[in-house]
Amino acid sequence: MAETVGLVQKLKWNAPGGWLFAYLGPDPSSTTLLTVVIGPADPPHVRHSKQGVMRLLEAAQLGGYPVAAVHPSGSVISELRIDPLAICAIGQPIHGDFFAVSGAGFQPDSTLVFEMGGASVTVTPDMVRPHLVLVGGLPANVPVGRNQLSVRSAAGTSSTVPVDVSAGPLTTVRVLHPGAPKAAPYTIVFVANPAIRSETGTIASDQVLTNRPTYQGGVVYCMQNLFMQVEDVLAAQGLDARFRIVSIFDPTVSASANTALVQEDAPDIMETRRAVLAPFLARYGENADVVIALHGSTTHTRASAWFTSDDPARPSTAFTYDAAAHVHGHFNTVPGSAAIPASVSTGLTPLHEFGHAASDFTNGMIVDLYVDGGPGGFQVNKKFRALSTDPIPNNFANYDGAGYTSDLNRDALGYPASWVSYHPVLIDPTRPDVMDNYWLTANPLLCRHDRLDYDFLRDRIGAKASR
Amino acid sequence: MEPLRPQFRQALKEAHPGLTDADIDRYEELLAARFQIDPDREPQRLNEIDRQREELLRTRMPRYREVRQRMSSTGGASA
Repeated sequence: MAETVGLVQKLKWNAPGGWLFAYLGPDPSSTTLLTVVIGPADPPHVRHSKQGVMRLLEAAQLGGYPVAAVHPSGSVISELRIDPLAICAIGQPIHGDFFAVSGAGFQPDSTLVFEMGGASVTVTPDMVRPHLVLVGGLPANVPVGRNQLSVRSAAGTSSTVPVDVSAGPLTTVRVLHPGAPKAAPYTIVFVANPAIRSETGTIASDQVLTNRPTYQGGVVYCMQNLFMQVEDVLAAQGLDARFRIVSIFDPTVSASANTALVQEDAPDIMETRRAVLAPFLARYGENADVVIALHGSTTHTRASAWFTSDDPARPSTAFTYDAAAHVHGHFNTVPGSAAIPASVSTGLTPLHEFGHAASDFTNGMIVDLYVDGGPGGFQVNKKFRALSTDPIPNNFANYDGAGYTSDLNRDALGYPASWVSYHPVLIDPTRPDVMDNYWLTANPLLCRHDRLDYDFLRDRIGAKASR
Repeated sequence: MEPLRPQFRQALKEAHPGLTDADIDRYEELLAARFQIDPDREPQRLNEIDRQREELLRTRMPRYREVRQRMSSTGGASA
């Protein structure tokens, strides 16, 4: 059975007449003429199928994608395929905008290579994961127009895909990774916060909407923080390959009570306004598990997070904690959220705040470990002795049938003598927990979660990602 | 919320003679407790914690905001 693979160099399509000539080949001077003809005796389902082949050929020509045409005898196409591509551009490349490419097996040294007319431009990405290459702002030296894009590393170069580079306009909603191909993949949304509610209750525009490069830099730093550190709670076994990740930057939004996604909390905290988050995202057709609002305040720069509120009326995954029954809710009534300065460029703040935001008010809070605090609610990672002089119990908790010991030393920080609280055992006992004061070590980026937080978060996010 | 950097804690104490680590820890504890309260379910409890927090700031750390701005403007601490 003959099969011709190549680009659609030329089409002659007479739609009313029901015929199409397709010239397939590697270049315009070397083509094979193939045909699709709708005959008067063709039954409706055959006519429909042939019309679909015609439309697919047209789309392949416009998009620049190679097709594989099966033509059993002569030039008549009986079947048409577009074979899976090794890489996929997520949206069109636009100067100054995010640009992401999905695929599989990307190496850490991967670069993006744009080729046009025999010349090439190499772009070094800001983040590489095995399934994703991300550029925080596409350089303007990538030529406008049709380019052939490949991903190159020391391990080799991918096949190329055609992309149409433009100089603008920048997108409002940019999908950075589409996630699992399902109706409701686990979703993280970054938002350039449109307005701020002040300490006194007034609403004013957030300057972050006038500084897109800083916002995009903040998103990149958050992405690197969440997915590229030694702490691999979100990255191990490709968990993040299942995440939908979206950026919203809408400079047309007016400041109002409904668009002030954050508010000042005296004297220096910025916090999200939980009630307005989901309605705001719905304007853009997004529904998040965790919302990270990046803001431009220079006075309220201390980041904070609110836990998720799971939806108890919808499906969930059961677990036990110290023999008590609990659930990881698959959906939420209010997403988890964090307010972080767009200028964030050091430390582990995004990963720390995500730890709070991804956990839940009722089904398990992952709390701050750098204060003593007290009992109240379901705190996953903190327990309390009756007296500070009581020894720390060796066993911390039983989570879903597995025992977790206690951190007897709190890394090298030590538990203050007055504290009654204690924590689960660390994965890396040489550095503070991600949820502890990570500023108290030389390189916060090397901090890890404790074993219990790690397993709890992965189970919880895995449960949501399974919906 | 984001933990305090040690440089900021030190600057707070320098700006407030007599301020102790215990005072700062108490403030931090109130702040952490605040974010463990569901604001939709227990707004009154949250307001009470905020009242205690504001009182502590007013009496023990009145120059907190000034220290924050100074540290931010010099790049000494974003938190």
